[in-house]
Formats: sequence, structure tokens, C-alpha cells
Amino acid sequence: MRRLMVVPVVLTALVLGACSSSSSTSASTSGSGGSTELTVFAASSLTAAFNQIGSDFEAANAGTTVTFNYGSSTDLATQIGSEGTADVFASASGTAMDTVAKDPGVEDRTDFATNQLVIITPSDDPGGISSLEDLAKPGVQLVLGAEGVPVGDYARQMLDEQGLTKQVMPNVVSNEPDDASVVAKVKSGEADAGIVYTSDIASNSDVRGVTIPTKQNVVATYPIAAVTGSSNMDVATSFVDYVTGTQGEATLKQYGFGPPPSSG
Amino acid sequence: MPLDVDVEVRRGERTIAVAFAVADGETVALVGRNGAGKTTALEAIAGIADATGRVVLDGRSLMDQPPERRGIGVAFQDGMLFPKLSVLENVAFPLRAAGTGRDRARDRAREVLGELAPTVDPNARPRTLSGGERQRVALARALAAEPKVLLLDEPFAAVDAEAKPELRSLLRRTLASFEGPRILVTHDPVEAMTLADRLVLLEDGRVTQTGTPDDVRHRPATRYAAEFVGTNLFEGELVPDEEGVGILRTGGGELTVVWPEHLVVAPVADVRATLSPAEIALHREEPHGSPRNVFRGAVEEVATVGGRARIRLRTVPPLVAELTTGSVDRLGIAPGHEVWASCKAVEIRLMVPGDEPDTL
Amino acid sequence: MQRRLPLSFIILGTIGAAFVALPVIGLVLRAPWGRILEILTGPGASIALRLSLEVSLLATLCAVVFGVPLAWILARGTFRGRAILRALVILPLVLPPVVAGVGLLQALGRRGIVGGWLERIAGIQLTFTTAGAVVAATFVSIPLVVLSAEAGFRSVDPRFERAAAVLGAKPGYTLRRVILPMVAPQLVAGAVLAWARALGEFGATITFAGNLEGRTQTLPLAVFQTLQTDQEGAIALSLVLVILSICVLVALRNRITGTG
Repeated sequence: MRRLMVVPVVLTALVLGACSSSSSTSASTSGSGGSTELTVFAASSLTAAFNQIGSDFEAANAGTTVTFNYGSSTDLATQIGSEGTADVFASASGTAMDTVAKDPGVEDRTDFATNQLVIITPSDDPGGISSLEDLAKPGVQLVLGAEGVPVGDYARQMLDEQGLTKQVMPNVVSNEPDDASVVAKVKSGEADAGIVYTSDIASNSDVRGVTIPTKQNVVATYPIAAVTGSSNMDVATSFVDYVTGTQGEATLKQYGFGPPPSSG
Repeated sequence: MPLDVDVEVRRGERTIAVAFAVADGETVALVGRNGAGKTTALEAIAGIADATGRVVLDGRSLMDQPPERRGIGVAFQDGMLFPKLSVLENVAFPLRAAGTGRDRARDRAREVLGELAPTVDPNARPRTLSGGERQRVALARALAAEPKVLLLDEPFAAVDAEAKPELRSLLRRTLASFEGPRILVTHDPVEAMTLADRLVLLEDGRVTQTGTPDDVRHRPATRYAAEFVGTNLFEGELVPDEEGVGILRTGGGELTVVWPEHLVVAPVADVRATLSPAEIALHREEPHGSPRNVFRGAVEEVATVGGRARIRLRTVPPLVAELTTGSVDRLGIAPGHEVWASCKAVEIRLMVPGDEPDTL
Repeated sequence: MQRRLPLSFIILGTIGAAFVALPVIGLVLRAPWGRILEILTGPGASIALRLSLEVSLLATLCAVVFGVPLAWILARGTFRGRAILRALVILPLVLPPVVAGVGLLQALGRRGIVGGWLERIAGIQLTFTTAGAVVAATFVSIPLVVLSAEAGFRSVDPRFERAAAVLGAKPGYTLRRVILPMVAPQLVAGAVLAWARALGEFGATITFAGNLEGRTQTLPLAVFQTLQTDQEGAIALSLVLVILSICVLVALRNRITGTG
């Protein structure tokens, strides 16, 4: 009987400990010269491009392993705030980067790429979509990124600026957690149309892209930065430099991204 | 409406082949050891076993009918009352299943319950009943829909010894008032002998003898038959002795018998003989006098049923004797005691080959 | 006399208990108790809750209507391939929910094997609809009904069915009046477990039915989306699900462990 009293005592101790602990800790990796691990949180639209950049970086820096965590930028920003295991953050929106800048803070923040939006439809275009206005046609099943997800916010911003919100929003049948999911729904033919980044279809030949004229389009600016408190600050800044350098820019262009707003 | 049965059921390695007939108003006891195939035969008649052959009721074949259309009432071993229905609902079940309205079914059920199980609360659940009460309700349920044939499977199996006599007399009354054919499955000789008009003996899936209790008692066809009716059975070679006397040499001993009149005076093989246990006298000391057959042996077992005692003796040959319990007490007979058993030669009834009892 | 427990077991057991208890305790401690009423009575939360209850109850109904007969066939059937059928029916239980969603798309999506035909001939579409959410939830919860019901049917002595037949009952009548009442407790347990599973269903729902407020955004999907922008709000919604789950556990406490 006495022995079982251990259980509630230990539980209480753990709970009290949890209450008083600070919300973010910094992870320490065993960086003893031999091998370094770099953790990069990046927007899911950067998946293909950054995988390439990652292997190139590893090749150029022997002994370094780059691990990526892809997801929606807002989601990642929240994770960094509460866990702080990221060394580098590459976001699809400035707002997400601002969140991280507030807590825990960023260094070397640079805009490294731009992206525009594009309408995608299944290859056989069942909805007959050829323009942004066509999205308002009755019966069209449109899929967007969810609110709070950069690709979703950008799409809504664009529709708003074009005065199409009231006509188009009723056609939205699903709000997806990231652009990859939007592409998946359109590729499979479940949705008639979706709005994603142009970079998403550079690596996807199974969907049909409908270009949105620049005067209607929005430009997404992608910032990258090293996260304050990283235990691999040197390697982190080195990675940021690589991405913003000629090599990185060339790869990004290859994968459908536009150049950063300011050259250099 | 007479019932004619000739079925075969294959159960794994074994085959059970049973053929017999039951007339209207006749009670046939289907008897055998446990595992002989009695319940299987019953299931074949009721339609819930995979059987081939004939089951004909009043000239109409039942074989191609599903069980629910055969018009056979069955009281199952252990009652098999449905646990989530009340006693009344159980008895009303066959009527409701046939489409009778709820109120009419319940009224009829109450009627039958009143006759057969007046002390049982109709709203009670089966699990609250005793073994005897469950059997009564099962009987009521079997009879509620006025079936054409009544089958009873081991009605006394789950009943206490004290409750048996009452149940036995209830069954006797119920069977007597049921007009159609009735089949009673049992392994108990007392039940069979007191309730049945005819016996059908089943051994290892085959019928070995049919006949009235007396028929079987006088001419049992097999050792089991003899055991069942409680008579002594001997088998061996019959050789002539003195004038009019013969010796039956069995594997287990010798008996002096009266030579049958019409039989040629020469040794005969494969002779069987019965001796009623009541014809055996027991003595604490060696008897003198007329009995030709005297055997000495130890008492192996004394079993009393009512006022009568059956005593198994380890004599040569082994014998079963029957005395009143009074006599047992007077003689002071108990297991282990040495006693003398005697019987007259004329009491041993011979069955010579060519003189066999009916088996079908 | 209290049994003596080895110290190692006590330590391991405590860690196990903490492991399970801490997430729930964390939710309770970090919940925005100041704003919680505001969050939970706000339009987003109440819509998600209502939809969740609607979808989970409908899914439970479907799981029972189709699962109980299936369980009966598995318990009493004598055809070959029964083992394969049983494995198939249990599959949704072990399949990752997203995989289940992908599978449902191939079968019932607009271009699916049956779904395509449904849309062409009958104009019926299941994806992006509440019905689709019910389909996804039913798919993952039907095994729970089948498992519980089959165990129940197996525990019924087959002699009862034979007795009922001899007494004049057709198979349907026997099932209804004799068998089902005998397995009622197992059926209820299966239904409650199915409901709990349907309520918490996420992967198959978001993959097959999509995510739209008021139509397909059940509570788990709402939590996921809210997490992107408002962590405290997500915690508040999570608490609703935790409370519902605790209710299920309390309702089934005797069935799960066999003790009070």
C-alpha cells in the first residue's frame, strides 16, 4: 500500500515541474568538429528546391547533414516558438517570419525568392477554367489553402484585390493545410481547380496551369534567416548565405521561383 | 398420425443409422449409453441434423421441410429456455413464431403453464428456476403450439433426485394425454421402463433391439440390453449332462440348466441365457436343498431404488441379484461380505440359436 | 492483504501512468481559462461541435446497421475465405487513417471505381460533402462494431438457434427475439467504441471529405486548423474532445477491464 503512494507523488512532482518550466528550450547538438547537423524549417512550397539545395550544401560541406522539416509557414513558426529546435527558417510569408523574429529572434534575415500564384486544374480541365474570373462559374469545385496558411492567405488577398471574393468563395469546397495538399486534390481530379504557387507546378507535370496575369497576381516574398539561439550559428548563417548566393538562386530559379525583390 | 423414421447421420468418422416407427398414442423410449447417438437421432427427426433417409409423418415426408415447418414439439435437455425472455414469453414463443397475435399467444401460454407448471411465476426469468421447473416450462413450450409429434430429450438430466418422482408422474400424465406419437430419449432404465410402451435400444449408432420392456427383459439381444433391463445374461456352449439337464459353459463360469424339450441332445454353441435377478436367493451360509446352482462370492455393490436393492456379486459367473431392502437388512449384507447365491435350474431361460428375439 | 509489488514494476508503471496523464494535464493547465467560454461558444467551435456530433452519430448508426449482420455472417457462416473476410473487415483498424482516406478516394472519389459511376449515372458526389465525412468515419469505426458483435455472437450457444428453429421460428425471427437480446451488452459496447473512434477521426476525413467549416470540418479538423494561428484556441477545442472521450471511457469502464 505504501509503495503505491509513489505514483501520485511522482505525478504531482512532474506536474509542478511542468508548470514552472520555461516555454522554450534550446536544443544542444553534439557539435564536436566531426559531424554537424543542421535543422532547417522550410515552407512546403520549397520542398523540391530545398531538397536539391540541401544535397548540394552537404556535398560542398563535408561532415554536415541537413535535415528539413517542411510544413505551412505559420505552423512552423508556432513550432519554432514553442520548441526551438530549428537552426534556419525559410518562410513563404513575411508575417510568419515576423512571428519568429519576435520569439526567439532571427539573424541575417534576407528575402531570397519570390513566388506568384497560379490556377491549377486537372489535365482534362473538367471545369473549363481559363481565367481567374472562371473560378466564379457555378458548380466549379475549388480548393484553396486554409486561412492562416500563406498560400491560402495570398489567394484570398488576390481574390479580394480583384473584387472576386463574393463570387468565388462559395465555390470553395475545402481548405487544405498546405499547397501540396491542394495540388494533390486537383491532380487526382477530385477538385476542378486550385490556387497554388507557380513553383508548385514547375515540378508537377500532371496538372494544367492557368497563368494569372501579373496585374491580377500577388507576389509572395520568401524570407530566410538563422534562428537565434541555434547551437550551430556558424553553419546556419553559412546555409543562409548559400541559399541567397548564386548557387542557391540558380537552383531556386530551376524550380520555378522568381528572383528576390532586391538583387544581390 | 404414425411416425416412420429411417435416417442416417454422418458425424465425422461415425455414422448413426436409426430406423423405427411410432404409432399414434404410443410412447417409444430411445435408449442408449451416452454417445450412442440418441440425441443425434432426435435432431435428425426434428430437422436440425444433416441427415439422409426418410422421416414420414402420416404418409407425408418431413425430410425436405425445414425444422420450423415439421410440426414437431421438442423439450430439450437442460430445457434450453431462452434466457432473455420470461417464462411466459418462452412458452408463447412457438405460437408467436407461427404468427399468432401477442394476446392470444400469451393466453394459450398461460393455460398450458397453469396445467404443467402452476407454481412457476410466468414473469420470472429462466435462470431463477430450478432444474425441475425448467423442464416443466420446456414441456409447456413444446406443447404450446399443439405439435403433431412430441420429442423429449433426457427430461430428467438436470433434475434433482427429490424432484424426479413428481416430474415422472407429470410426464406420465402428459404423455398419456398427448394423442400423437411420442419419443422419449433417455439413458436411465427407470425412466424408460416406467414411461415407455416400447424400447428402441441404440448402441454405437445402430439399433440393436426394439420391443416392449417385457420383451427385452425376457430376451435381451445384447449385453447392454440385459444391463439396461437389469437382468443377468450369459453366453456360452450348452452341453448335455444327466437326463433332462444341461451345463451352460460360459467364459465366466458354469450354470446348470434344464435341457429344452425340443432340442437335440448334443452340444450346442453360442447359446444365451437370462436369469432374472429376483430369482436369485442369497444366504450368509452355504445352503442345502434343491437349488442346482449355488455360487459363492463377495458382494461388490448394493444399490437401492425405492424399496428394492440390486446386489452385484463377484461370483463365478458374476451375478446381479435383487432383494427387498428389508431382506438386505435382515441378512446383514454389505459390500465385501462373502455370500452364497442360489437359483433353480428351471429359472434360467435359454435362448438357443434359431430362436432369436426380434431386433427390428 | 495487499500484494507486494516489485519496485521495478512500480517505477515502470508510474512512468507509464505519467506518460498517459501528462498530455491531458498539460491541456488542462495551458488552456486559456479566461477566454474559454468565449472560444467555445464562438461560431467556429459550435459549428464544429455540432458537425462532429452529427457525423459521428450517423457514422455509428451506419457501422451498426452494416457491421452487425457482417459480424453474424463471420460468426455463423461456414463458407471458405471467412478468415480473409475477417482480416479485411479488421483492416481499417490497423490502416493509417490517411491511407484509408486515399483508399476511399480510389473507390468512392469522383474518379473512383464506384464513385465515378455514381457521379456519372446518379449525379452523386461524396467527396467534399458531409456524407463523405460520414463515409470516412464509418470506414474506420465499423471494425469496432464487428469485433465486439462477433465476439458476442460466438458466445451464444448455437443450440439456442436450433431450438428456436424446431419450435417454429424462421432465422430472422430467432435473431430478433432470441439472439440479439442476448448480445445487447456487446452491441452497445461496440457502438460506443465506434462512436468514440468516429468522433476522433481525422486522417481519412481530411483526405477524403476535405476541410470546410460547417460541411466537413469536424472538431479534430478544426483543432488542426486552429493550431496554425491560435494555439490556445486549439487547446480549448482539444479539451472538448478530451471531455467527450472521458465520457466514453466512464460509460464503458466495466466493459473494457472487466472490473469496476
